[in-house]
Amino acid sequence: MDTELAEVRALQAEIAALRRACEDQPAPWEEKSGVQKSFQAIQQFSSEGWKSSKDLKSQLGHLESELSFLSTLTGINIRNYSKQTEDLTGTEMTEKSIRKVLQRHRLSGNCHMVTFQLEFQILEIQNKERLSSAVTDLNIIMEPTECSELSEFVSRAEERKDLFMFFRSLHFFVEWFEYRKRTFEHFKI
Amino acid sequence: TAGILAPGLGVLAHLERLETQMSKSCKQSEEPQSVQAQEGALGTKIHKLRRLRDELRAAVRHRQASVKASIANVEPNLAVEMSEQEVLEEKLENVKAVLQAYRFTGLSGKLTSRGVCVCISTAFEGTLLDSYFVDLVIQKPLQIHHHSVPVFIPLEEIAAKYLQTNIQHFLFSLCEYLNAYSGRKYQADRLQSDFAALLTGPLQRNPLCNLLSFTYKLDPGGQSFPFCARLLYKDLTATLPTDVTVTYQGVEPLSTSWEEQRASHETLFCTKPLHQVFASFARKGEKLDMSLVS
Repeated sequence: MDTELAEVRALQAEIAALRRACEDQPAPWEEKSGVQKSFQAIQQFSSEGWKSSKDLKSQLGHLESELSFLSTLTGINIRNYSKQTEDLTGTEMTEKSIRKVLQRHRLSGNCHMVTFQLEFQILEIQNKERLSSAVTDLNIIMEPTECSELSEFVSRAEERKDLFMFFRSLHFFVEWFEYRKRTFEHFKI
Repeated sequence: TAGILAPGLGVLAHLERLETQMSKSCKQSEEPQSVQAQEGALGTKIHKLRRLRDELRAAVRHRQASVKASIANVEPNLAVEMSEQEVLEEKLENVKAVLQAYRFTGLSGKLTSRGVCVCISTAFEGTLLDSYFVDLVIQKPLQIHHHSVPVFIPLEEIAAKYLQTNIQHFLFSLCEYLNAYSGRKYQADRLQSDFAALLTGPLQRNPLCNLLSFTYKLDPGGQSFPFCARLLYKDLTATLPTDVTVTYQGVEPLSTSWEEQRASHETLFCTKPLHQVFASFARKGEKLDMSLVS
């Protein structure tokens, strides 16, 4: 009940702030002169608290180098990721202090010339003693599709719902494939 | 521009309607109610507040779009700057999200002022387990500043082999050891928590969870003597044992059928995760009970 009351208060505060943002809008635009319009726009721009471009650019630069490091380290290049959360806690569960949350994840990227798209679900159950997290569904789409070794470990990973095994195997397989390619290239006349 | 205004007015009117609805339900909730009814009313209230908030957010975004459109007519440069800002913000959100996603590969991390802090996630089949970190200082020689790796994992050995020549190999190897340890620990924990009824004594285990010893009975209430199992995992990067012995604790020699069972259990423990073997024992036990009843 406490978390709910806290949420109510947070929502009410956000609603009040949003209403103020709406009310700050000036009257119909067409009646004002061009100069007045731009003054108001600039006021809005700064009052909205939009961060300066410089801050954003340096933050972005730092995070992009972090990304580049992880991509090199894991051999995996993740390009897109999104997540949705659904609270499955029923009122009975709340009474017993049990919380159930279903997460839906979607990510895509590539490992050298192999591209992948993953959709998976994680079910989180929190009770008084511990938090358990388990992958309840895993779907993997890969390009190219003709490679039998690839499809083999993909279906094994899907069956066992083993995310880590999928990424490790993908990395090693592609490295080995690249190595083999280079070795054959080396012996071509 | 008139087209931009009209929907704006419509949104305001809609919001006013929502707000009157809200204040009505507020009045209703002021009457005394049971705790359950209060919680139900609270849930509904939250739902309605969320809707109102989402509508307001959409209205603000809509107005921002109108502002931009108007500015573009008068101050095209300012409009371009604002668009660049939004593009940057969107890029930033995307990069932050992708960084979060790396934990699903098993390896993620953050750049630090000294170097990098790598986070190793572990899992056993579908179940996500503990994470460990290794804080590396980028200098010659590369050093581990601090870490959360358990003391019985041969970290120094692995570091001595690979850290200076190949960070990737060092981390992958450490990943293997940690995932295997996590997986063995998980199986032992599940055995203790889910199948205590089939154990006839406490489960004995070492911190590395690579030496397990326990006694069990397929029919807990029955007359037979328990089996004693000893599981040794010589390969620390594996989650299945390398050496299994199942012995019988009785005085008389085993009948052929029991001997066959004993041998089959040895094979089972070598090929399937521990808690899954016990799950199959429990299922067989249920079948046995059913046959007694009918």
